[in-house]
Amino acid sequence: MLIKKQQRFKSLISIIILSAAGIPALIVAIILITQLGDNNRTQVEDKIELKARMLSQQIEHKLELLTTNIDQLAHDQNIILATDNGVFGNAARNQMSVLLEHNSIVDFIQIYDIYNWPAESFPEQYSLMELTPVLETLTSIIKHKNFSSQVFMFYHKGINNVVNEYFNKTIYSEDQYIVVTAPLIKNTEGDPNQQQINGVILALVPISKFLKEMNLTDSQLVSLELEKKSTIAKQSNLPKYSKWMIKSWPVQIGQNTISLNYGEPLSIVTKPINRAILSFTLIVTIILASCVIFVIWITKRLSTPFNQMHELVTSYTQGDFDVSMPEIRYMEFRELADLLSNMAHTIFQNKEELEHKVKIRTNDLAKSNEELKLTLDKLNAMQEHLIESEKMSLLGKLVAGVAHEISTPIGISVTAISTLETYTDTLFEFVDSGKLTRNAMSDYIAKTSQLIPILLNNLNRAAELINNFKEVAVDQSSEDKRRFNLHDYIYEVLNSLQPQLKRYQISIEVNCDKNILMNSFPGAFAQIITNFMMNSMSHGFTQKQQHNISINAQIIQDQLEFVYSDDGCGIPQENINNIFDPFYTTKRNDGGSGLGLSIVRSIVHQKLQGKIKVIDTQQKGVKLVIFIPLTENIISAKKMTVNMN
Amino acid sequence: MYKIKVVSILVLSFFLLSFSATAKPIVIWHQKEQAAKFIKQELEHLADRMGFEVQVTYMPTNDLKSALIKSIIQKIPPDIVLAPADFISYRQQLALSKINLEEFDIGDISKQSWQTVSSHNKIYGIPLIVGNNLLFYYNKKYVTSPATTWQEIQHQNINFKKIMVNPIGWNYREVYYFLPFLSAFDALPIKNNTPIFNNKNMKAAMTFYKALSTSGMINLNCDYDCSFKKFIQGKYVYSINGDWAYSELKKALGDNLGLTKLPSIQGKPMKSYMSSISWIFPKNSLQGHHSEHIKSIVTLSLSENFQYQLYKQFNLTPAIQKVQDKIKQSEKSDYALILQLLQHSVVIAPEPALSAVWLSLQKGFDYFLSANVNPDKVVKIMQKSALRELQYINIQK
Repeated sequence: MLIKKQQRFKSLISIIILSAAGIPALIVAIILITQLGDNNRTQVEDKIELKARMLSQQIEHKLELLTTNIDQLAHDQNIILATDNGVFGNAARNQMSVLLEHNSIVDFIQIYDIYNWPAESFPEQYSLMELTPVLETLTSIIKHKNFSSQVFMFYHKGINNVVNEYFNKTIYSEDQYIVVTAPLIKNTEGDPNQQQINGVILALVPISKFLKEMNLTDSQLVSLELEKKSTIAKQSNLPKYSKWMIKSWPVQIGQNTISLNYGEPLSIVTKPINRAILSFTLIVTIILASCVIFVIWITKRLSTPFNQMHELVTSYTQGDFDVSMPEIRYMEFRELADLLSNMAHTIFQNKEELEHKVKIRTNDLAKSNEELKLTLDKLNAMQEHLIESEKMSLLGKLVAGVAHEISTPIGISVTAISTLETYTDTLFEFVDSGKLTRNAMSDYIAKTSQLIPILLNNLNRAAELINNFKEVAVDQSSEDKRRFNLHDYIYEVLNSLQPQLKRYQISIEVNCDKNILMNSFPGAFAQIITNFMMNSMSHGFTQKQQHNISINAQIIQDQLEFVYSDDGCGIPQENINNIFDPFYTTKRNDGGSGLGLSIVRSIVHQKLQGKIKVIDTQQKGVKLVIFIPLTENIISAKKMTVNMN
Repeated sequence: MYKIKVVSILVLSFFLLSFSATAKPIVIWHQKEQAAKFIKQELEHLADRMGFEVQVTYMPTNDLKSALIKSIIQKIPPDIVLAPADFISYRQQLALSKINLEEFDIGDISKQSWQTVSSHNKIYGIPLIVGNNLLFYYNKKYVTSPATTWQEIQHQNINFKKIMVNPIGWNYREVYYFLPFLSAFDALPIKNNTPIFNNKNMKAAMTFYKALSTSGMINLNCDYDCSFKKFIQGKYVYSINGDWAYSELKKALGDNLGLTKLPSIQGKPMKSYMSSISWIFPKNSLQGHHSEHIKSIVTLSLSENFQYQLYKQFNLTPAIQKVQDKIKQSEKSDYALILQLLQHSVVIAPEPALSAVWLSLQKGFDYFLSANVNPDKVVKIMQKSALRELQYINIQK
């Protein structure tokens, strides 16, 4: 039966209040915090996206203006003619300076003729600079011969090296630009429909100018991608933030697409969110903590009367019935305490009465105990006497049996000797009469020869019986330990019981290893076997029927297993548990003492240090098993291997 | 009756149109801003007297050059242009008329002046005004005896610093002001119609010129304003400016204005380059149907009176020798000095290579001053650029 774990009442109250108040509050707080976080995050994302859109619109506006201006400039006659004639250089430079004035993102403008020679530049210090990295692109524009005057934008690496080398100082520390270019289309003289490309105009837009005009802080990231290629510009010198929230916004400038990626560090972006969440969490924590404190306070207040009750009852339990009544605040508990107090006092009084009565009864019991002790001693003495008597009785039976057995061969021997006496007397008569003849002598010899073996056999038999008996009787009465062969000894005991066994039709089978050499109490074995067999004959067998007895002895592991079984009427189910009880018998009216198996059990337990048990055979005979530990009881033994094989 | 009227109207219209066709105005372009009104007035009077029309248009010099080339391309050139003589280096493109002096009734013009419009013994223009040379001005308030060498200026600067004035100013980044320095180093980058940038003299001149700013003698960004306005304000002791600025400077500084020759460099004199503002005749206009009118315009402009007015009203140096002499005799010593200095100036022949050299020099000069590069690299690039420009000019012959 499982014993349930005991709980404290105040724990229960705490759990109830916390569950009722704390858990819902916690759930609501978690939901609200999550929602707050999500909402803030969405707002932040929207804000960043808006910023990205604004910045990209800035770029879009500037680049659209630039491409428009470049396109216009590409159609300017001075610009076109400047590629052919340096005369127009000044006018071209003026135009370029106007463009530069209106497009602050441009660093310089160059005009290249069809041979990739920089015809003019503005500012003028760039005039002799050949922007070699882009010449291939310019050539392809010229070769393309697209007279639709499209403005191209492209990115090319290596421009900064050319410029820095040209000026022999660092003009551009980063290789990040957009090159805006357009072909210079000249109408052929005399044929307005005939056009030719005279060169290319290009404007260099360092991305740093875009970034500068954006007034970005250290915690703002911008990168630009031209035609979805890898980032061509990024705000440099950014502190190392590990994660960024980045939004993209594409800008379409003519046939070109520029994507602006704007980002802010996640740690900064989420700072207000985290702050809000932290504040909220703090508030919730404070509320929960307050809740817990309240719970503790309330449970304390609620459990105080219980504790007071507990103390009161503990005092009573410990026998302190004079303990003063505590100040209990609540009426119900006060009434309960009063009841307990009354009960305690009643208990106290009853206890005192009881103690007095117990004292008296104890004295009476002591007296009875003494008497019982005496009676018990007497009974034990009686039992021992009865056991001895039983033993003697058994022995007596044995003696009677043996005497009965001996009387026959003695009788025969006496008869034979009497006959011999007669024959001898006759012979003496013949001798005395002198009528002794050969025939008479031969007759005498022949007759005596017949009588001698009879005498010898019967006297030997008698001697054997006596020897057997002597051994068994001596052993039975003797308490000495000695060495003996178990197999041989069993047969000796059986022989000694022949007189009794003869009266029944019994077949005895003995299975015992001949090599089991015992160092034990043979008398005990003799008693056991004798008792078993006597019981079989007196309780289990009838003289009219053939019966079988089986005695098996074998060494199993570290003990001797001695099994006695017969095929008699067996033991009824209701009696089987009582057979070892002293004085328990079903043949009391037939003179049974009921001590046989009790003696056997005490011999097995005490003398042989073993165990005995009866096997329920469903009244198909009796089966008794004795286990005797090997220890020093058995000197040597050879295990029965027949069954094992 | 009706028919007669119609025919008469038609015939009259025809004649009127014909007349208007033949009465096309003489298109005159010029770059003399200060004298624009005068020129226009005088020429219109002449035209009135002679029964033709003129269309006089002023343009700044750089615009005039490009407009002229464009007009040739567009086949609508003006009839006569008053332009700096270096325009003559584009004579092939402009198809300038060669001048036969016998066709003109004009006074003596100095040989030096004719050199400004001649090439290979052929004359391609008629000088109207000469000069355009750079002069060395100084403020007598700070120095009574002007420096004659750059070393002297440097030495005087010690005292100038004490009185918080700058030593000298000029339009430092304008290549025209670099030319006198080239003359001191004998480094003019053209010879026999061939650009010659890549030589040690050119490098030396460039190095010396740049050192003037790096040493603090002059601010790198000193422009015309600092050589003119600030000089007038007394913030500069010396100024290099053109003869064109004399009258304004004189008006501002009065007797405090001093004038002398340019200081020498390491014993070598700096020579200003002179040029002329000349009449040129694009698209062979002298041989065109306006030829007579054109000649009359030229003759008028070179008349003593016209020439003298140019000086009187605008302080321009007239080309006619006689007028120069008259001025010398009657006017103040400064102007005599200007004329004297003019005679010592150097003339650059208007060769085709000159325009190529000039363009490359302009570009290279600016590059050299802006970049942290040594002259070796710059002269190579200038040479390459000049050859390329010359190639283009030759293509367009």
